[in-house]
Amino acid sequence: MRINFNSVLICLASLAAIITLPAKAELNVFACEPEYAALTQELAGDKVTIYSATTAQQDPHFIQARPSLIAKMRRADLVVCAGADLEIGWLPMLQMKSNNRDVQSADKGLFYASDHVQNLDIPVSVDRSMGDVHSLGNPHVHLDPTRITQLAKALSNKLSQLDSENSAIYQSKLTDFLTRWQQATTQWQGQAQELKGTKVIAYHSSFRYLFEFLGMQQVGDLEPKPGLPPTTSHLMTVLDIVEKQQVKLVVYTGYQDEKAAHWLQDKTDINSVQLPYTVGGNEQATDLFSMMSQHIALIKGALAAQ
Amino acid sequence: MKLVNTSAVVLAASFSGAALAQDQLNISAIVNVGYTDREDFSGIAGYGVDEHGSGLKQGFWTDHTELAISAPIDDMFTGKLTIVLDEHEGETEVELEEAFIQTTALPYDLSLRFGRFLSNIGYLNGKHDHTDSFADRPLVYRAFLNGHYYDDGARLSWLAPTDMYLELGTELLKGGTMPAYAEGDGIGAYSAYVKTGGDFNIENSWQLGVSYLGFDNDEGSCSSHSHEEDHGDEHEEHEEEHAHEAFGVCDFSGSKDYYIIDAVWKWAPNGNYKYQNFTLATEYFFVEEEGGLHHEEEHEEHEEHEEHLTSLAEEHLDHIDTSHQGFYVSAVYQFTPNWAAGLRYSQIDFDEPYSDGFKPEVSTAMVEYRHSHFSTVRLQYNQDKSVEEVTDDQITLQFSMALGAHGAHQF
Repeated sequence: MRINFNSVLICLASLAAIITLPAKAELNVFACEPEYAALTQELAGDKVTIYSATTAQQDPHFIQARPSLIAKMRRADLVVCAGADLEIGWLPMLQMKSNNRDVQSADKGLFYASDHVQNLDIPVSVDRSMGDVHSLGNPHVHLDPTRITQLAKALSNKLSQLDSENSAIYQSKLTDFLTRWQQATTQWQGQAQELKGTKVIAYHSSFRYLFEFLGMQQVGDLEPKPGLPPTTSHLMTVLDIVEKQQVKLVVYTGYQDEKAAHWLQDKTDINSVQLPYTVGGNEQATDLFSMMSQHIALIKGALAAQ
Repeated sequence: MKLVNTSAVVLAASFSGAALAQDQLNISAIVNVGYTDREDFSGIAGYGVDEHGSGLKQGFWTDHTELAISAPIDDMFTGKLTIVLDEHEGETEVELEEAFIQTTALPYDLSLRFGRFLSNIGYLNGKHDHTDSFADRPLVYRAFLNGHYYDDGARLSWLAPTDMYLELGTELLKGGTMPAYAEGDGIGAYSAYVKTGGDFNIENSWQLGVSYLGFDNDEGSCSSHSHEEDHGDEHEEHEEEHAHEAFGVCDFSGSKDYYIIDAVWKWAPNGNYKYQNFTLATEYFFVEEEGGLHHEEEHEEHEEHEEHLTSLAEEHLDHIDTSHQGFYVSAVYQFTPNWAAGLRYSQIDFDEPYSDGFKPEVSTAMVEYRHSHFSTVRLQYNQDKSVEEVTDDQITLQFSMALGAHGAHQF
């Protein structure tokens, strides 16, 4: 038995020719993380169809380049991701396998949030003995409301660039969002006054930008090095930090192992608290506004409880 | 391609110099070293296999240490180069495993790959060895694909405009690398594949593939590392010490057709792969051979019974029309971010004249420790029954480490 390859080729070519894609009514947006799905939702509403590749329960460093994601990326007009190598383990594979020429570069339908804000903790030099450090800096930029403002403007521009017909709508949605976001930010800043200078321990550098915004100080990490799970010997040094530096709180999120945080809580008199980290991270965090409010409320609640 | 090992160092040095100049150039080296305690390889039943089919070598080894460079070339093309170090008869050889360009800007969900690349047939073949969960390739891959099949050629891939992932692809290849040794310099091998997959739910994902690979092998075009050379010069080319006759890797001339079905299921709690996940993978091979099998008689009295005689008095060319089938099943469970364990079983049912009922099989168990995403230490046990007379207990300690850029992995 032998398959005739000319006929296979002809079949492939004719299939491709027959299926002339109808003009798209709306943009298909592939968001790498829920926070960028939520931001796009705020800025585009029903003008786009949004798919989030990950949930709040999934560590965005460790996503499989699954067949379903390849299929979603094939149809995407715009891919919105954190960037700064957060998705390096899976996004390039999806881009290559998607055969989609529109989402390969930032001048077309690819938007990296970290390209549009100032990233913190850009290392002077990177070497792997430091752990899984991102040479472009910390990619978890969405937890700082002032950076969200910058991102909203840049993403709105990108939407208008790709779908100029609806640019007036994108502009008005941006204005509306920024008004509401600015009000909320002022409110959050007021609520954060009493948090300034509070020392915390966190799992990974996931909350770096939140602490920056709230004026809190992360003095220890449950991970011995970025990307490496907590070890007993490392936790002993963290315990030492808690006792010596008047640390008030341990925070982690749903996709991180809670055992280390609970261990530290049991060994000391400080509380641990699970924060949503992103939209969908708990029941109340249904959009960017409630996500930020939840972070502040949960931190204050945990501090008040002790 | 074969170069002496010093060239590799020169290559590596010149590429790392370029890295400083260009930010998007991804350079990664996989250092794959280990130690294996095993008997000498004595074939897989009587099937003709290359030295690559032997699996891990006895003693210390550095095989399949690789250097890969990839980068977007411009807005139309991306490219990749992979060179692999392999040890053959005491010499370190550099093999060019990949050197391809791929389009990134074709319309109609098409992409074209051109150059040397790993054929996309099956599940494991398109993946690099260092992403495997075991130290060696399954028996069925070693016997039928020489571990992995790469070749010079072109691939056209098309994604169907469906909600579900459906990829159709075809490859036209030179047929110049094992297991293909096709005549001439044109198109000697061809493949076609269909891959599909999806999510059952947030925790469970699957992929299914059907592939075909075919080529016309020609004895005169065959030049390879023949494993028989390892067993001493006193033997004639096709003779082995054991009872059943073993054929050489170049003894077959004619058409070979492969039909491969692969299925993969992956699970992770909440779809969060960092802490726990489970992968079940299986591939089934059906291989048809039709042509002439070069054949040297060991016992003179058998000669007169042979019907087909070549010009050489002691050699015969038997016409064969046979089919073989084989499979592997592997299960790997990562139970903490650092630890994973896996089991694998692979078996081949060869037709005559390679085997008269004996089915070679290998059972494998492994446990691995990953200190970080970039380093793996693996302990593996193989119970290897590749030939009827020997049950070989093989123990391997493997260190597989990634230096530099660590590219994205396939599903």
